[in-house]
Amino acid sequence: MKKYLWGLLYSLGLAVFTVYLLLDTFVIARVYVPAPEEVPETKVTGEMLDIGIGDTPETEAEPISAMVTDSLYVDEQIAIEITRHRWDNSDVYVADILLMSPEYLKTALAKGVYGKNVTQTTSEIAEANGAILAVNGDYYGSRDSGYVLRNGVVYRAAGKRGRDVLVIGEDGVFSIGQEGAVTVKAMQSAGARHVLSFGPVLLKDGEVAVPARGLSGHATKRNPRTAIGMVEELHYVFVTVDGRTAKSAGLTVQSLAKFMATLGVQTAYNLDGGGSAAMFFNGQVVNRPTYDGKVIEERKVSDIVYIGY
Amino acid sequence: MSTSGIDRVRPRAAVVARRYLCAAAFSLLLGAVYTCFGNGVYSAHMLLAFVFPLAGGAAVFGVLSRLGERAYPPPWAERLYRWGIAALTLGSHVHGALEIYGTENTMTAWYWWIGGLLAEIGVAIYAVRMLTRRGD
Repeated sequence: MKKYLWGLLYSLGLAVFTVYLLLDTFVIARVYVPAPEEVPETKVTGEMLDIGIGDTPETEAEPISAMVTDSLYVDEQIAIEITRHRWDNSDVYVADILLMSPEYLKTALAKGVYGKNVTQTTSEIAEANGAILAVNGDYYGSRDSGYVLRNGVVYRAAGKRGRDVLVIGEDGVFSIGQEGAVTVKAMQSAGARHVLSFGPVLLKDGEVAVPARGLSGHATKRNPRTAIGMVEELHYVFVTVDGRTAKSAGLTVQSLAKFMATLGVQTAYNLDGGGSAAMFFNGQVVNRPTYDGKVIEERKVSDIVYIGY
Repeated sequence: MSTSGIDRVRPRAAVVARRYLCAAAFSLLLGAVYTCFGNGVYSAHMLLAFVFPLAGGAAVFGVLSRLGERAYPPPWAERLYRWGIAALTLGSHVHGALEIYGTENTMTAWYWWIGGLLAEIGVAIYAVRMLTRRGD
C-alpha cells in the first residue's frame, strides 16, 4: 500500500492543479484595475421614427436629436448605417460610420473594470455605456499577454513579440503597431488612445495584408468574425460575420479581408470572433451570435469597441 | 544473473509497456474526439499528446523488457520518470484544450517544468545507478 501512496498523492496533486488551472482560466474573476469613470457629456433622445434610445437627459447637457430607424442613426455628430451583405456563403453585417470627432469612437470594459474572467455580453456593456453602436473587442481577458490601452489608460504592458496590434490615435486615425517593437507606453506617449491586440491585420493601405503563414487554426477556418476598419479620417466600418450555421458558414480571415477591401477600407484589423462576434445597434443585437451553431446567444466578453457620447 | 530475476522483471516491464500502449491509444482517441468538436480548429498539443506515453512509456519499457534485471531502473527512478511522463501527457492535453478554445494560461508551463524535471531526475538516478554498477 505504501508504494502506491506516493503515486496517489502525486496524482491527487496533479488533479488539483489541473482543476485550479481550469478554474483560473474560465471561472475565477480577478479585478486588477477599475476603469476610470467616463461620464457621458450628453444623452441622446431619439426622435422621428420608432425607437428612442437612452433616457431623457438627467444632466443639464443639451439633448441631441437624432433620426433613428432599425438600420440608421443620424445626428449632428454621428451617422451610422447598418447594411447586410452576403459574401462567401455567409451573412455579413456592416456598420458604416461617419463621425464629426474621434472622441465618439470609444472602448469599454466589462463591468467597468480591468480584470480576468470579468465579462458581460456585448449588449450589456454597450447599454451600460450608452453605446449607439458596439462590437465585441479583443477579449483581452482570455489571454495573459497582449497590450491593453483603452481610452488613454494602459492596463497591460506585456505583449507577445511580433504580434500586430491596432493603434487608434487621439485623432481617430488607425495604424498598425507591433508588440515588442514598441512598448505600449511609448504608443501612449505618441498619442495612442486605444490599442487592440488580437489580429491579424486584414488590410494595409487598402491591400490585403493577411500573413501567408503563422496563422492560428481559428484564423484559417471558417468562423464568425468581428473586424473594424478605417476608410478615411473619421470614416469607419465595423463588420461582424455570422458563422457555424448551415445558413452562414463564416469566413476565413483571408476572405474577410477581401470583403473589407470591397468597402474601400484602408486599414482593417481582425478582432475576436467565434462565439464572441456580436454587433449591437440601437438597443438590439444585429447579428446571430453563436458558439456551437445551435444556440443563438451572445457570449460574455471582456470589452467592446463602440460609438457613443 | 539469476533466472528468477529475469522472470520477475521482464514480464513486469512488458506489462508496463502494454499499459503505456493503452494510455497512448486513449490519449490519441481523446485528442481526436476533442478536435472533432473544436469547430475545425486543430491543436498540435492535443493531437500529439499521445507521443509522450508512446515514446516515453511504451517504447522505453518495451526495450527494458528485452533486457535483464540489471537494466531495470530502481523503484524511485522508475516512479519519478513515470510521474514525469504523466505530467507531460496531461499538460499537452490541457494546453491543447485551451488552444482549441482560443484562450491561454501561462500556468500550463508548470506541466512542462514539473514533467520534464521529474523525468530527467528519474533518468539521472537510473544513469548513476547503471554507472556505479558498471564499476562493480
